[in-house]
Amino acid sequence: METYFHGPITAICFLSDKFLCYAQGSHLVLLNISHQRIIDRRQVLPDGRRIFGVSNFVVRHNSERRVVLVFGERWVSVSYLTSLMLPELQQIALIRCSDWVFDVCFIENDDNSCFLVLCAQSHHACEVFSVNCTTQACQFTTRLQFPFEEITWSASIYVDKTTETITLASGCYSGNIKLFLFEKSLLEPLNDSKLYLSEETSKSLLLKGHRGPVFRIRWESTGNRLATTADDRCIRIWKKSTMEGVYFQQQVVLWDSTSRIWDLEFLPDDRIIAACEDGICRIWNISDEKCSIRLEDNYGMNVFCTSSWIDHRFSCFIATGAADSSCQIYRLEDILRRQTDRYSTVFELPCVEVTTNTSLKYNLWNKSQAGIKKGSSYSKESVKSIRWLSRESLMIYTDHNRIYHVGVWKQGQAWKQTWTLLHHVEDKILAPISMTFIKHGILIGTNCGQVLIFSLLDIKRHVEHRSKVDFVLRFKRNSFQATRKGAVMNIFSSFEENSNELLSQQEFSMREQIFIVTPDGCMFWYHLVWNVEEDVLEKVQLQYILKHPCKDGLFTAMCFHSKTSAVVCGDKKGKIFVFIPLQDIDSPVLMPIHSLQLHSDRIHCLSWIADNIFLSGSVDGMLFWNLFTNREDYQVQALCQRKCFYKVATVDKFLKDSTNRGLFLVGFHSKYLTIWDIIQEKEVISIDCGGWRRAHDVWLCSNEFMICFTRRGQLVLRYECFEDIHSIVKTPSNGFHGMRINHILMREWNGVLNLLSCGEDTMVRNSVFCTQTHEMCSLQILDCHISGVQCCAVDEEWLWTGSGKDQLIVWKKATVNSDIRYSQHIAQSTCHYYHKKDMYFGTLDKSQRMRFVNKVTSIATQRVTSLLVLPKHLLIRRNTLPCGILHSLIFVTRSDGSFALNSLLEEPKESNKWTIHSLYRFNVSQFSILCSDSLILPECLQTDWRKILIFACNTVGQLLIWQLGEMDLENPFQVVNEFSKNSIVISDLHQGAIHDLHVSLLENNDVLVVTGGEDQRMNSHLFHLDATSIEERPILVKLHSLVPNCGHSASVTAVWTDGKVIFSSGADHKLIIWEIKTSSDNGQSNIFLQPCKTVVSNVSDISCISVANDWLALAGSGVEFMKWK
Amino acid sequence: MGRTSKDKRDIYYRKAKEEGYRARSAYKLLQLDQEFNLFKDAENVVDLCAAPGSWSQVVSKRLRELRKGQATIVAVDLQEIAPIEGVTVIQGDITSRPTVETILKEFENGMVDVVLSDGAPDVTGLHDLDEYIQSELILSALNVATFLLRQGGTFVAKVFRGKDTCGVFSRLSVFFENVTLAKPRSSRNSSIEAFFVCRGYSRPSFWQPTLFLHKDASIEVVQGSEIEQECSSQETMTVVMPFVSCGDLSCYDADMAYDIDKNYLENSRVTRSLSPVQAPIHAAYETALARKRSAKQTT
Repeated sequence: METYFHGPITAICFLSDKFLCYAQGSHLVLLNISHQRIIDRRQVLPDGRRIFGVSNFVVRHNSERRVVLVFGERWVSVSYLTSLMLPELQQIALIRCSDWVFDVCFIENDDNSCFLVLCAQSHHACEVFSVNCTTQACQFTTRLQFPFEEITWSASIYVDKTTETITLASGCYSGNIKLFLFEKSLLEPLNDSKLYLSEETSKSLLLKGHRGPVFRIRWESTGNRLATTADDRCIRIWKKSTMEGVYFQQQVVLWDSTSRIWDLEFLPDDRIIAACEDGICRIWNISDEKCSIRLEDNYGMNVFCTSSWIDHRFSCFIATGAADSSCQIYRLEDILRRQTDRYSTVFELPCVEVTTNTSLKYNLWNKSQAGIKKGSSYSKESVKSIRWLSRESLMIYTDHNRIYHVGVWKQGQAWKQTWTLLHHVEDKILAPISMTFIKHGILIGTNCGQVLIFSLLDIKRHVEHRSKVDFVLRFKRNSFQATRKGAVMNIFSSFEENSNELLSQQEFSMREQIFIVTPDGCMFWYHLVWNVEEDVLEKVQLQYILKHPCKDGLFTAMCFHSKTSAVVCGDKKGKIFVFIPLQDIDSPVLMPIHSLQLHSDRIHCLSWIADNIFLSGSVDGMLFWNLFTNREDYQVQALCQRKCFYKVATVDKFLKDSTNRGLFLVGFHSKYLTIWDIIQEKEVISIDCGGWRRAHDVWLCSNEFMICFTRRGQLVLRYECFEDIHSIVKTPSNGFHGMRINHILMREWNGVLNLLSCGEDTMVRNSVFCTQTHEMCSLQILDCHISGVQCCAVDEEWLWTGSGKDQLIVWKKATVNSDIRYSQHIAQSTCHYYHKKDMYFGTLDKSQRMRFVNKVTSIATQRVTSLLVLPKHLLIRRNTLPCGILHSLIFVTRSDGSFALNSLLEEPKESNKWTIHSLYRFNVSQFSILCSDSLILPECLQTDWRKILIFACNTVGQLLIWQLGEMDLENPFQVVNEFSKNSIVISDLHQGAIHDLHVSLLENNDVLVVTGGEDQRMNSHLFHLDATSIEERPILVKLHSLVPNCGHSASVTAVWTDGKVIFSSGADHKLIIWEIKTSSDNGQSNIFLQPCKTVVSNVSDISCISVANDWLALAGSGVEFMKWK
Repeated sequence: MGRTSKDKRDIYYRKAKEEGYRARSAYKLLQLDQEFNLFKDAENVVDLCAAPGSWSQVVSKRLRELRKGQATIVAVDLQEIAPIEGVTVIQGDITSRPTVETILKEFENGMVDVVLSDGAPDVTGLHDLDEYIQSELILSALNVATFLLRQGGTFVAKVFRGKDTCGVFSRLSVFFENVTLAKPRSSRNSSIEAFFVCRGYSRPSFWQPTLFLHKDASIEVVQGSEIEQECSSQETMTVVMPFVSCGDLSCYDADMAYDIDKNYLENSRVTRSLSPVQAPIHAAYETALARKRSAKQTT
């Protein structure tokens, strides 16, 4: 059976500087590093066993040839790698050891006739096998049993070629590490195949220091040092103290990780890399015991393995493999270089006297005044807003109504700065409130509605001549009264969209659109003409007044679509408005032609990333990709959304990098400032700003950025160069859920398999598995849930997802023709995407969900455990209700044993306004309902009160069955009564919980109910539909049970059936395919089950089976695709 | 497992704090006892891998209820255990001979009636390895149990059910007349854990208890048939392990979240969160955490 596993990468190994192999489940994958292409994928261990380790060894007489040893559980596979140019694995032996293998090693004989394979095992044993090079026959040679009595967790072998000795290091459950040193001659075959070694025949040493199980032991390639890690979460390096014998002393202890470490690898220049449970790879300098570098490129938890390679140019490559099924390859030099280009500096703001009145005197940070305390006549200024003009100059305005220009540059190694006061007002009415750029100047909005314009030309000159300290700045100042309706709350310009080339070519006159926001819900659109030659403002003309529908509405963000002159605005309550200047209307007042409630809080930034797609970021921490239909109706649709920051954060600013087409996002959570790479979907950097005030700004160019943030009286500048932290190569899959998958839905669609997966990592992923190339690629991440997503249900148009914290979200399908990001990966040009329509909490009210993270509630939040989309055409006669149009109907079961019927309503008057409406809730069981399924009755049996059957199971082995007929939506209580009246409860179907349930209608209209339970059983029951029953009571009559007397050895957690075959799978990692057979004796047809195939899967924690035509997907910790037909 | 995922704090977590148990696992033993009546004839009980001591708490409480005056309870673990009333605490490795000798010294009046083992490795997320280490732990606990148990004694051990469970099952079946898998309702359905309840210990004639761990407790019996091999291979399992779900239907559901009010209102001391009954004395990773904390404070 063809199987393809996408899940944790458990072992990784470089074959050369061009090829890498990694183990994903039972598959060994060969990756061409330079082409980023998978060239081979195969199972090497029998029965689909998981691979735990891969290592390769150079054959002495043939440098082109490699021996690749792969091990997992009790098996070791020995293969030749034929060529380094076109590598191909050729398996020559498969070894079964008598115990679990923790490490393997390879020793060549002197005469090249055969080589030995050493397998370090649990129970402090080592088995030796010899492989003949010519005949390729593999033979058991001997077993070395070392005297020690502790449970082993890890082991590692080192072969010293000069002294012909072998050292075996065994890590124990208690934290002890036992070293055994023995002569190579012991490996010769003996008559007695088992060799019990005493303390005399082997020298041994006990290394004490760790606490808890020793997870990993690694030898340095010279054998002089040993690195170990255990549950105490530190790394201990042990150094050889004498040349002879086995004497090791602890050299250093490396601390930093508070999570467990799964793998270690020595790097050149006295460094060591560790793969940690928290998803971070850490690199330590062993000499100064400092963890200098953290690589955080993986989703979710667990980096399982790491490997390194030094090529002929002595540059070191590092590869890491993680639970999110992606591996990353770095060049060590790149990582280190980034480390050196990092700079941070603190500038004291000029201190000012509070009592000063008209004089423009200020002190250019005289250090002697830095210590002045509060209460004196001096007070520290604090920065209210910052804007970068270029890498070397920034504008700030302070709470003392001063506007400064600051030049900051690096001269040699030292950082220098100049401060220039541009403007200062005593009058609070003239205080600066907002700031923006145009090409040739800076616009500053003040408290009284005036706009000040400073020419940039002088600043440009200033930057060029910054070395002359005595250079005096004179800023030409213009101003105009923009509004008489109060302060300029916000000011925007059309220029901001492409502001990177700020000080570039000259033109004679510039036209700019500027937008001025007043507190009464208006935005004034001005047309501004700038005379470039004379560097003066030529003309300011009011174009339009854009009105917010509410009088107290406030626009907080806007973006200007230059092609259509459409203005998209966001307000403080998360709404989006579209304004279009219409030619045929005389009045300058514009009302929005489209509005959409997008975010739940203030929108901070809007930015175009393509002609018809713009991004929006808000204080609620969400980032939306929005589709703008710019042809006729100018509508906005939210395409997909993302919570970029781990904690609740504010999305504050977009940064565009024109040189390498990067797009970044700046956000805050508590005192951290985080930059997120939108294209790569990962965090670039996160900086602890201390107690920040909201006055950050970031300037960014291709590979470096400056961050500026303030504390009272201080301006902190940080310079970072981040170009090299991207890994040079990633696996094509581009990452998957880093945690367990709770539910999947797979559907075939134009030759590709579309997969919707709900992860414990709070994400729903929409991805595609190509059945030809067997590669998976991600289309979209639906990220709106605040806890692990439990289940999903889908119909033609809608996708429902439910999660812990009782959250239910509905998404609408959209077909997008040109996807900007992923279209190159997929053969088809169109794909289905989903965008959020509404969100519903069962037990949380609105105030709780806003600050869910901190809130302690006395009301328990339940989990949504399963979802069923009900066929609304059968159940509801009239779609149109007084309160709206009903679009979809969903059945929700929850962990408190209740079910609910929810509907999706579209408001009749306001199109695009959707609500999830709870029709009713009913408590049916005092135990959690874990799974449910529905069945549409055959038409001959349908009546008005009986259209579908709903099945559900709970944690005490009960099966609940209801029938549901036509509903009168205006009187839902009637339905509840019917529901409770017409139920059947079948108890003791299983001992303990029933984990999964699937129902199918057989050809003779009998119903097959398949359940999988905690008691290791997969039960199937046949029910007969009683057509004679005309009353409103259930019509199911139990015929008989098909209980196989063999099957799984652990709880059955996923089942599926189509009436002909049954798939069942569970904690024992086995997928059993059963066939439903009929035999007839004595004229009576008998139905029985026959196990037809058993497959061992690599998915642990199996949660769900989904089937689409020939393909089957098993989900859990990873996904396994199988072609079962 | 299945469609359930873990909620960190459930009803048993809260109840354990209210009732003074050191861990929620106490309810698992209570429910196992409810089903199997483990301590009916028991006087001498050994609790292996006992930290933090919740099972010993239950044993001591139950034996007091059954008015066993001369009962001896010994709790053993690698880690420190805070003192428990009526329980002798031994800190030591159960796979080492001195520890077993110290345990045996405690029982002057003969052999042990019940051996409990609730030990589990820290799970790594890759269940293959967890299950293997767990079965190693069971086998070494079994090794100790064969030293200690009287004829007809009882052995209870935690197991992670997976591929090789029936291998462990058949080994246990060699030593005990009646081996049952049990899952208490207080054990979450999202967890793969279950308990082997082995009753009626009878030492096979070939078996001489030894502490040489590598002489596998049952290797003489099963080596030929290689049971664990069969179980993980392509053929379907033929041995059906008896399974019991214990704890009555009136008890709480571990997979459900309950409103706090409902349980606390009858209790006068309505507190939002209770402090743990017994904080970990000496966790392996405490230094790592402490260092991290102090590093954060200094910067």
